[in-house]
Amino acid sequence: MAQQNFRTCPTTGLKVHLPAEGLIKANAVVAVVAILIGGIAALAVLLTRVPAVHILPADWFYRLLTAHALDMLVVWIIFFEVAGLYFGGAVLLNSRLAAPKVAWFAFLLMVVGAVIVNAIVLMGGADVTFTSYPPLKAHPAYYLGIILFAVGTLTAVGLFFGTLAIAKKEKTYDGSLPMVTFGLMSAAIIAVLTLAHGAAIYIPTFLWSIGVLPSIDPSMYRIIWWGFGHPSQQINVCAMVSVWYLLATLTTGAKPLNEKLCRTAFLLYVLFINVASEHHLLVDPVLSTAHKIVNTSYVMHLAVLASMIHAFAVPAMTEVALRNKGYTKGLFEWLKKAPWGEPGFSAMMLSLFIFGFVGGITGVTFGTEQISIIRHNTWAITGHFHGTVVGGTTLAFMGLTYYVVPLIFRREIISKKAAQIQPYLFGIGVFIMANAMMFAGSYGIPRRHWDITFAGAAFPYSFDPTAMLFMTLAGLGGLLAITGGAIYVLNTVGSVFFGKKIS
Amino acid sequence: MAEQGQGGLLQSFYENMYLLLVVGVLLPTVIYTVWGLAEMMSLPQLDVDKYMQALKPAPSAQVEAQSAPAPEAAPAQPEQAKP
Amino acid sequence: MSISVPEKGWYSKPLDKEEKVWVAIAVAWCLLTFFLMPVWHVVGKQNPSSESYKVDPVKFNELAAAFAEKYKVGEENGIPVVRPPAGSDVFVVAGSYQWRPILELEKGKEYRIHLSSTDFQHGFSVVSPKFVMNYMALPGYDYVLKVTPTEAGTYSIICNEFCGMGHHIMIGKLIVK
Repeated sequence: MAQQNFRTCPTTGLKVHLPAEGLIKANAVVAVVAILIGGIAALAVLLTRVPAVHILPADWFYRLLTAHALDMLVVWIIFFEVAGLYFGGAVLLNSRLAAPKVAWFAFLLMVVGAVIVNAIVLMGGADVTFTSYPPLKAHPAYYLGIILFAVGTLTAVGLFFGTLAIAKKEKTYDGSLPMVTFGLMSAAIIAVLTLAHGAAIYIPTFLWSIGVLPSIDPSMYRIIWWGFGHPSQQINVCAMVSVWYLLATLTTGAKPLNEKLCRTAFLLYVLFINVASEHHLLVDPVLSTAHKIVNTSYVMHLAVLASMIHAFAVPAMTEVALRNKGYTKGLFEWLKKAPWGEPGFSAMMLSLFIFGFVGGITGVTFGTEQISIIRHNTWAITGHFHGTVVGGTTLAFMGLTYYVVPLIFRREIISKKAAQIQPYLFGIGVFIMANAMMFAGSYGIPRRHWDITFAGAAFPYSFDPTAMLFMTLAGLGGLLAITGGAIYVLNTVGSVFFGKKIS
Repeated sequence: MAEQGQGGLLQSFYENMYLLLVVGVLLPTVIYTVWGLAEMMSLPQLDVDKYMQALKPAPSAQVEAQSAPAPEAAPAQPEQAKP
Repeated sequence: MSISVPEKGWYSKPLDKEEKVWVAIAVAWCLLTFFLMPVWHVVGKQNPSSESYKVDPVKFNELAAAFAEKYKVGEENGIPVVRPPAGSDVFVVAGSYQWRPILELEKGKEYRIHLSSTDFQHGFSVVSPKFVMNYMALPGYDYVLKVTPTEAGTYSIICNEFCGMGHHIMIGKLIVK
C-alpha cells in the first residue's frame, strides 16, 4: 500500500516519497520567490547606501531594508531549509514523511506569515528594522505574522523529528544516520532552541503592541531576542555545512574520512555555538564581564573548533575522492583537475572559502569585547554576516539548487552555461562587497543608516573619503552579486517551468 | 541503536536525537539566557537622589555647595562602586 | 558517502595522522584565543565597562538636565555646552534624535560618563578620523563608562542603532581640551 507512494530515483537509487517530494517542491519554490523579492529590495537598499547614487527616500530605505532582511534571512533561507529537512529526513532515509497533511498546514502558516509581514512592512506599519527593538513599536500584524511563520517552522521541524522516528521504527535504513541527515538534525535542534526564544520574546511583544502589556524591558528584549536572532543563523551554519557534505558527495563522490570526527564537530555546534548570541551585547549595559567572555567565546571557542574541523574535513574528503579518480600528480593536481565547471562544486568551494575567511574569522574577532567597541553596529558587522549567510549559506543553497531541479523537479537546467558562471559571479560579488563593507565600517560608517553625509543634521560630520570609496566599492561588489542572484532566479524558475523533462 | 556497545553514554550523544535535543536546548538556555536574565534582574538601581543632591543641593545647603562645587562631586564616586 | 548510512564501526575508527595533527593545531589555537580574552581584559587598557544601573528614564533626564545647567558654559544649536569638573560624574542622554549635552572634557582626566536614553534604543558612536568607539544607550538603564580622553579635539557622536525616521540626523559633539 505504502509502496505506491514512492518512486525510485534513477540517478541515486533512493526511494522518493511522493508527498514529501511535493512538499520539497512547494517549499523550494516559495524560497526562490522570496530571494527574488529580497533581491529587488537588496538592489534598492544598495543603491541608496552608495553615497553618489542614494536613490530612495529615508522612509522607503528603512522599509525596504526591513523587507530585505526578513525575506532573505528568514523567508528564503527557512523555506529552503524546510525543503532540506524533508529531503534529509524522508528521501535520504528511504522513508515516508510524517503527516504530510500537517506539513502542508505548516507550509500554509509560513506563507501566510511571510505575506502578512511583507505587506505590513511595505505599508509602512513596521518601520522598526529587522530587530524591532522596543520601545520602537510596529503594527501588531507584524509580530503576528512572525509568530505564524515561526509556528509553521516549528511544526515542520517537529515533522522532521517525527520522520526520523518513523524511519528508525520502520527500519528503512540500517545503522546510523547519514552525515547529511545528522547535520540537518543538528540544524533542527538549534531551530527548536531558536524558536523557543522567538516565542518567548515575540508573544509578549505582540501583547504589548495590542496594549495588553504596558511595556517591554529593552534589555530583556535584547537578551532574549538575540537568543533567537543569532541561533537562527546557526541553523544556517549547520544546514550549510550539511550541504557542503552533500555537494562534495554529489559532485565528486567523496565520503567523509572520519565519520566520528565530523559528527563531533556537529555536536560541538549544537552544544556551544548558540551562546554566541552575546556577540550583539558586548557593549550593552547590564551584563557582566564573565557572562560576556564565557558566551562570546562559545565556551572556550569550542564552536570555532567545530568549524575548523569541517574546514579540514570537507576539502580533505574531496581531495581523497579526486585522487582516487587518478589525479595524483604532485600536491595540487587534484585541485587543478577538480570539476570547477560544475556549479555544485564551485559553489561549495567558494561557500567554504567565503564563510571561513570572510564570515567566520570576522565573526570570532568582532566577537571580542575590545574589538566590539570599535566595530559594534558599524557596517563591518553587515560585512561579517554577508560573508556568513550570503557568501556562505546562500551560495551553498544555490549550488544545491542545480541538483534539486533535475533530481526532484525532474527538469533539466535550461542554461548550463549560466549555471556554470553564476556561483563565481555571486561569490566574487559577495566577497568584494563584504570586505568593502568591513573596511568602510572600520572608519565608523554605521549600519542601517540612510545618509552618512548627515545633510540637514544639527552638526556636520564628514567621514574619511576613503570610507566613501569603500562604500562605492561595496556597491560594485553588490551589483555583481545581485547580477549573480538574478541569473540564479531566472535560470531556476525557467528550468522548473520550461526545462526539458527528465523521465 | 545500530552501533552497539563500544561508546557507552558518550556514543548515545551521536545516536539519540532526543538526548541531544534536550542537552542542546538546555545548555545554551542556562549559560546564556538564564544567566543573562538573572544579571538583568539583580541589577541595582541608580541612586538618583544622591547625584541630584550634589548637583541641586537643598536650599539650606545651597550657599555651601556653590562655594565648592568641584570637591563635592568627587566624594560621590567611591560610594558608587559596583556592589 | 555523506548521503548514505556510515560503515559499521565508524564510531571506533581512529583518527589518521593528518587529522590528529590538524585537530591538535585547532585545539591549541582555540585555547590560545580563548585565554587571551580574560588575559586581555586584565592587561589591556580599553575594555567595555560592566558597571550599570537601572534608572527611571524621566529621573535620568532630570539628572542630566540639572547637570547640564550647573556646569553650562555655552550653547550650540540649542544644546548646552557643559564643562564639568575634571574627573567627575558626567551625564549624557539620548532622546528626540539628539545627544545632550555637548561635553567639554579635559585631556588626561578620567570621567565617569553616565549614558542613557529617554525614548528609544540608541547607538552611542563616537567618530573621528582617528578612532571609533561604540556603546549602547538603552532607556531605563544607566551605562557607566570610565573614559580618559587622551587626545584633544572635537569628536562627533552619531547614532548607530536604528531609532526611527530621524536616526540619520542624530548627531552630537564631544570636545576634549
